[in-house]
Amino acid sequence: MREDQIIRGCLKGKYDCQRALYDLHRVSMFMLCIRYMPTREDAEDVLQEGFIKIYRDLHQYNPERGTLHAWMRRVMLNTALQHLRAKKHLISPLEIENFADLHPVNDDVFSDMTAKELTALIQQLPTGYRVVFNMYVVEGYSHQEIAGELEISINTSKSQLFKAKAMLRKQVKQIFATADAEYENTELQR
Amino acid sequence: MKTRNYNDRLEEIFAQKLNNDGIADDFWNLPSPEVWTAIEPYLPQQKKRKVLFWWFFSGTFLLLGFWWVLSGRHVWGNLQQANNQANSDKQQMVLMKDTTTDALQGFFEFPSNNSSLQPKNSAELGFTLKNLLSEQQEHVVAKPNSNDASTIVSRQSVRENTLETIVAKDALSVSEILLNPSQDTSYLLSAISANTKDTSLVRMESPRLQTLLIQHTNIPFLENKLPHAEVSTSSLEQVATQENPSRWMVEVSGGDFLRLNPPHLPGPSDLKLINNHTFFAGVQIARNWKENWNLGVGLYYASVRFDANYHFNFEYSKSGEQQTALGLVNEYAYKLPSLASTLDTRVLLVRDAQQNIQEGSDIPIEMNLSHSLTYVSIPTYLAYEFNTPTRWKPYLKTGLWSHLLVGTLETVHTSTVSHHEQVTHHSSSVMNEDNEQTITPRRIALDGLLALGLKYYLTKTNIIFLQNLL
Repeated sequence: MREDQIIRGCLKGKYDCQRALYDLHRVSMFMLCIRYMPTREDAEDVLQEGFIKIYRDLHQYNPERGTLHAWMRRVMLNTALQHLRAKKHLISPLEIENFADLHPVNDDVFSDMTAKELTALIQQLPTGYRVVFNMYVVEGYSHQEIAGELEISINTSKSQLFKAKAMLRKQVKQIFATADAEYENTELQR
Repeated sequence: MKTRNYNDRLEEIFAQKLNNDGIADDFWNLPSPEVWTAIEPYLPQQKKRKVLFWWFFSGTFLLLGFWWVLSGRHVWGNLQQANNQANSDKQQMVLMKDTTTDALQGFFEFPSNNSSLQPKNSAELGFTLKNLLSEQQEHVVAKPNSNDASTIVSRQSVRENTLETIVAKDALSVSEILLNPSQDTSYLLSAISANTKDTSLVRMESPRLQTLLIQHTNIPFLENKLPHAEVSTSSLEQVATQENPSRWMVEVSGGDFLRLNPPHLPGPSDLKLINNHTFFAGVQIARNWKENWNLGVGLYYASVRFDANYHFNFEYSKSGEQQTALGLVNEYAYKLPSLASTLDTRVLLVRDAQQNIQEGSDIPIEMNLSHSLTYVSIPTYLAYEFNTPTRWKPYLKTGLWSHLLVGTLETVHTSTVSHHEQVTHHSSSVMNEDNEQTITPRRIALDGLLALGLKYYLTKTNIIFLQNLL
């Protein structure tokens, strides 16, 4: 089915069209939810609630203003942010900065990692860093838009992004350091 | 994703790798099936179905009204009122062979504008009867029976609920009259048959003959003048009050199906597309409203929007009339997606064979009759199945049933003992030197159909139907 057929069918309440919409977009939507939520269970909760909103508000989608996928991502993102706000997980200006080591890492090491591994790294970030990083790097929002959405200052958004990237590099460095140590131990045992 | 310039290599890598096209990769980015299960109850659909539900009922009543007008039936008559009306109706009398003209005056009611038709003597009775029949055709009230697809509606009045017509509807009771006729009735039969080439008049099941005989006799006269007749007032009244035959049908349908699948797509199993083409081979057993058993064996095809069913159907009559029907049934159902219902039409080619043999020493008339009918039956109906959370699914059907009589084969051998006449009916084809064949013209009839039923899903493919024609 074409996308316009699916949309029309969903607006008429046709079950097969509703299921088709879900099947086509569930993976990308779930990947978005995983990146924002701390656990898989939370991500599925957000996915469920997000799709319910999508079906309910589908009549508000205007094709002239963007693609359906982009509109759905926006709905899902808002749902994720609502969940984080409800659980008081969102950014607080009083978050403690605990980066003692900002030693630079060659960013090309990330190119050898899969999407799953990159997502796992993001999930380990504190909530505030994680949200800003996702919105800026993955969703493509500007710092001004992020500031307006999260009710923070632009400088705070920039700061959170910088710290998020630093933390990711640190995590990768620690991963490789651990791998090197394990390799050396293995060689020594031989 | 919004496009923008990246500040460093890290941003570029993350943005490119995490903004893929949503292909499932090793299940980690695939939600559990319970997510969709939790979404389903909130899917918007209820309001639309209610609207369509009421639209469907409105359409049902419109079809029902159309059926009423088209068939001209009044099936909700007052039997008691009909009986009273019948008793007060004037009855025309059976003509006695040797009755004089003056005596005939008291028995016959001739059309007022056709006084020339009054017979002068019994010799002219045959001619008179012939003209009387042709004159009275418009005013004869007949009823459709299972073997005659035509219906003649009275222009003077609708007397279908009168005792006459109720009696006439029961062919068996009328047959009792004809099985044991007196000389008077025999004479009438021979007079009719001798003066008309319409062989259907002498058929035992001819509605016109039935009604003419009834209209030309009255019950007391039958009791007095037909001593051999087994029909009496009480039996006729019993017939009149007899309940309609059962219109319930029970059908058990079952079988197994084959599913065609396209080549598997790469990825998790739940991303595969399953083709909805299904072939089903099965057996259907049904006992219908004629109390006949039906057996159907055939093939069934189902897709998302369309069903087709081809099967041979064999029907055996329980009533002992040795009536069987063998037909090739073609059913086509188009599924209306938003209405959760189907538009179903069937083409049935049925051969209905019946043979009646009446003979005996007490009967002065011998008649050997055998005939077979071939007709095309096309029911077209809209079926709406109510979605319930249990295995019981009620449904409603409404539509039209068209019958096209495409051919009949009749063999009639009649002899009248009282007049020592051998009455035979010539036809265009001859079966053998003893029998003759006649072919009746094609007839078309429309009938309304309204049924309420209940399905019980033993499994997805084994279903029990319980249906009542309304």
